[in-house]
Amino acid sequence: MYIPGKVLKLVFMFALCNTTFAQNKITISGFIRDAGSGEALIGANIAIKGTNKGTASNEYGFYSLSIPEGEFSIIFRYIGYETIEKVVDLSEKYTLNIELQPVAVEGEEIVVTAMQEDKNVKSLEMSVATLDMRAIPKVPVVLGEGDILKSIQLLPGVTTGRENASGFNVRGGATDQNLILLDESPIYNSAHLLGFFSIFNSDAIKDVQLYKGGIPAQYGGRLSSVLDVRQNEGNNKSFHGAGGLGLISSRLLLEGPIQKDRGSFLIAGRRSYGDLLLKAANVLHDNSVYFYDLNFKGNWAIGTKNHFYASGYLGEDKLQMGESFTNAWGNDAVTLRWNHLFSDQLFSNFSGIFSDYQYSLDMFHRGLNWEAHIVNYNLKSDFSWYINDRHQLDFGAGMLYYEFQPGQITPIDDSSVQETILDKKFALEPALYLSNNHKISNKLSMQYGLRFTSFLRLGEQTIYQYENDAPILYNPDLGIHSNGVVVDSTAYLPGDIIKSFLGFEPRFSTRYTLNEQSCVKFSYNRTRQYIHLISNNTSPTPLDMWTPSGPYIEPQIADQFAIGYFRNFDNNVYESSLELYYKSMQNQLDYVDGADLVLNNNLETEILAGEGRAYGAEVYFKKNKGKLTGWLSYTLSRTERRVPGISADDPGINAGEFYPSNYDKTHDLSITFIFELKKGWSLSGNFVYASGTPTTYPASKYEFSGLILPQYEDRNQQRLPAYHRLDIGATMYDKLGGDWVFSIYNVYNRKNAYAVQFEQNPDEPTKTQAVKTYVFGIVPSISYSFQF
Amino acid sequence: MIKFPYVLLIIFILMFSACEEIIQIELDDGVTRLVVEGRIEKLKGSRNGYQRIILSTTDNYFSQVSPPSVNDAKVIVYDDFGNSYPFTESATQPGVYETDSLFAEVFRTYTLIIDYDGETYSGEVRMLSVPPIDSIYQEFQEDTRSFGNRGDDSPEGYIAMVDFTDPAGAQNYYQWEILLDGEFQIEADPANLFLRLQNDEFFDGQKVIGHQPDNTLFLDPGQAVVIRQIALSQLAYDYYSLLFSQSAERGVFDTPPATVRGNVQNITDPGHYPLGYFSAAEVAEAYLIIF
Repeated sequence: MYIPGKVLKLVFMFALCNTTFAQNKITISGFIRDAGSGEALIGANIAIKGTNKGTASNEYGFYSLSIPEGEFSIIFRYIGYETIEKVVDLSEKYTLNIELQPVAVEGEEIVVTAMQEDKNVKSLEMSVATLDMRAIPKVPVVLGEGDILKSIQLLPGVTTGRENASGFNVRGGATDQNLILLDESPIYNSAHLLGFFSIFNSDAIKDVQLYKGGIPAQYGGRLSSVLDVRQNEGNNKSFHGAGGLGLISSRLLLEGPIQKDRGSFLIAGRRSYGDLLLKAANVLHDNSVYFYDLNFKGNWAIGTKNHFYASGYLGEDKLQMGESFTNAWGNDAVTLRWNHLFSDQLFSNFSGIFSDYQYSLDMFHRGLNWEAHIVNYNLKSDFSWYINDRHQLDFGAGMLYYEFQPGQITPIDDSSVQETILDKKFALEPALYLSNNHKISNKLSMQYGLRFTSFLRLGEQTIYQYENDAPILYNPDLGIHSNGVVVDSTAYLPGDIIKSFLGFEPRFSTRYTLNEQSCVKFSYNRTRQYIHLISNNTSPTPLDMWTPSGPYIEPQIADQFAIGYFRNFDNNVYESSLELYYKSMQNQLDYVDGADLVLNNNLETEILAGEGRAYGAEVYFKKNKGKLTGWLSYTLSRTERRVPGISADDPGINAGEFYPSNYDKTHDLSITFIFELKKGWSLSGNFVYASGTPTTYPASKYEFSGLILPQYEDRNQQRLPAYHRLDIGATMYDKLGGDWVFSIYNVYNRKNAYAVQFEQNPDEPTKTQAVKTYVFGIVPSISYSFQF
Repeated sequence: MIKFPYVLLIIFILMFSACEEIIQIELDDGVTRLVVEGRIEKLKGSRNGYQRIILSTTDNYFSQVSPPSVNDAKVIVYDDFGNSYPFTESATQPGVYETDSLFAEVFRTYTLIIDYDGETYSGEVRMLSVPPIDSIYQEFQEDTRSFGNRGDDSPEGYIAMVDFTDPAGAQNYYQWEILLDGEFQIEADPANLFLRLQNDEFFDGQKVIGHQPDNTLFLDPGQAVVIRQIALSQLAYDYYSLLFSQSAERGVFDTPPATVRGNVQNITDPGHYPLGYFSAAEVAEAYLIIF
């Protein structure tokens, strides 16, 4: 950990000494695009025939490969596209841009893998899931809207605490530990309609990658995973549109060239039909609930070395409950990017990113409005240096500025509420990284990198000091935590550094090839996270606040080890993997009983720091090609937390012992299949089974002040009943290029427990009962999608 | 602090109230604990010597009878002048311990000692003063919220409300109780429980107009309402806030289940802690007959 200088030197030495042997090599480079739309193809495979040399295109479709002089046959391959073979006679630098023709798939066979078909065993990456956007609409989901986040939850190692929560947990990580990027812009709340939908409009999305482990050094800022979502660029050859009509929302996308082959635009929107669903359930009267979102992107190439992109997202949800309250939340994000080729071996990208997540609440009967924001400004640069066929060096730097505005209370109408502004919090997060992708031999490859981050908590803010440095006190006689005694305060001015943190994050992954069809992989990564979601709930809610690390809150740190065996069968028709992981997490926040987290300037008085650990085994089996495709994933895991008290006489939570965390699921199985029935029809299905999540049931009850109350003792000692359901769907392709998706969610109408609550019987208040809440019984739905 | 979780509870109840069902769960008997419910009261502007403390124990969660009362305890309250006030169990109400001779005063400290089942429990409080109710009046209202929750077909009627003036410069915590025709009114309703408890964070030193301790209690002409305004300490306020949130626990966006610890401790065996709260409060009362 503390020898970064040596590590850096080592990386450079590896890189440089190898370059010297590469002088007689010729570089061939270019971009790989879709012949129909001009969209860059991410992760297309470039192979030199008759050798095991090759590479893959990057996020912008660029590839670069250095090989000896001579005549070669180069194969360009991408799943779902016609393979192209080019014969080149290399004597000097060579630029070769390739356009691949999509294979007509309508009604024939679909392929549920993206990129190279042998990526499972050939790539260095492990613990990575790539979603094929074409398969998403075919996987049946509730209310018939194909959704990225719902699809991700069908993968091993990914769970969700509760049904239809859009927040997800990766390998025992909390929902705030996922770095969710939309065109590099951070998304703080990925849920629409409190989690029934995600904010990602599948039509506008080109590529989705989820890193559960072996996280490359270029990513940082969250502990447990990276969900890297990239939008389509827009067709630069001709105008097209696509859209869909569903039960909840409809959507429309338009795209076309600004100038043919040079630049294009894309704009896509979605709007829900308001409260139809809830009206149907007869629970809404003069209330409304809706969301909209808008994706846009434009790009323009200048010459062959420069390419500019502008992309953005705007979305909002609004929930109004009669004259009681209105709750609104939404993300805005804008990304400006410049791709520049310094040479045919040095690719670079510079990004400027702005994002604003805002949420507000009007409480009419209390006469107040509360509004909060998290604003991010981010400048970053990323370089890929394709040194030779053995080394690819990725490096870059970034500077992220945060502005947290946890809340401004303003009176509405003529209420006597006082205007109150909670302290704004400011922080700067600089980052540097360097990573080498090193092909040591034909069998052994490694990626080793180091990320260095710092976090500077900045003024202007007033920070309190507490007696004995204790923001929380514990009264051992009464077993109660209380706020510490403020003895002093320091008023920091704008730009003053209140507190700084810095640390290294080593990242390492390696692959050893056993044979053409199998390999073993190992990875280790350390991740640091400087911001925390302050939420005392099991699932994320729109009102959850983020807060930065600072004088009283330490950064979260995780170390994860993973090892896996990867095996393909039958010429890559089947792929399978088994991965084992262990993850330990430091500085996980928990809260004192009855913590007051909303509108609190001094969260340190409510927070207990704990640790977490998670371990498990993931099995994945997938059929990529043929009439029947699909996958099975199974995870056996344990996720635990330990929260010791603040002092020796404070037992903490559950006597300071490890206990299962809220989203621990021992078994998690999902099976998804898609079957091409005959021309024009496909059938699909899902089966999901998961152990019930831990919960706390009352140990007894008592009467006080006219109320019957549950008495809870230790936390998370019981479990909800197991969760399982079956969904089926059918897709019909019509002659006009549209498709109809019919689906039935929860076919056998299992009333899966969302929560079990204990309450007084409303009719006989002295009696108590357990009430199970379930969200969805059987839900049929229909949606129509079209393209033009 | 404002208790937003209640609001979120409501969202949840609204969205999914159609999807609930009562289920049978087996729960083991937990540890049996003593429950103390006691408040030494001083009515503002008068002298009262009657005080009572109710003792009971916890019971299996699904027990279909009222929690067992405690009948053989020794209950004594001491004040900080060294006076002792023994409480004796009521002949008619089991578990209720009474005295007629404790004339309480504000800013005095009271200590409760209970001997029960071989263990000694103790709690200590200081009585705080409460501002008077400036006025009490009625206003006709319809239930504008879509979630009228008393099961009434026509949720409309008169709402009782009070004005009071918060003392400036001090942190004040309030609780309100309502008696309707002499009956104490309370229910585990997340929509209005936070109206029963307030701190002066947003109205320090101001005159508060039209506070409705219960905005779903619709009254008819002829009904008699008593509103009691009670001073709480911060510890008591935190206790009642958590207690109310736990009593109304319905689920999803709310705080996780928590043990609600009060201010009474078991001196003999600290791990076998009691539940409930021993408080001392000045109470301002106002009454109104709806017309």
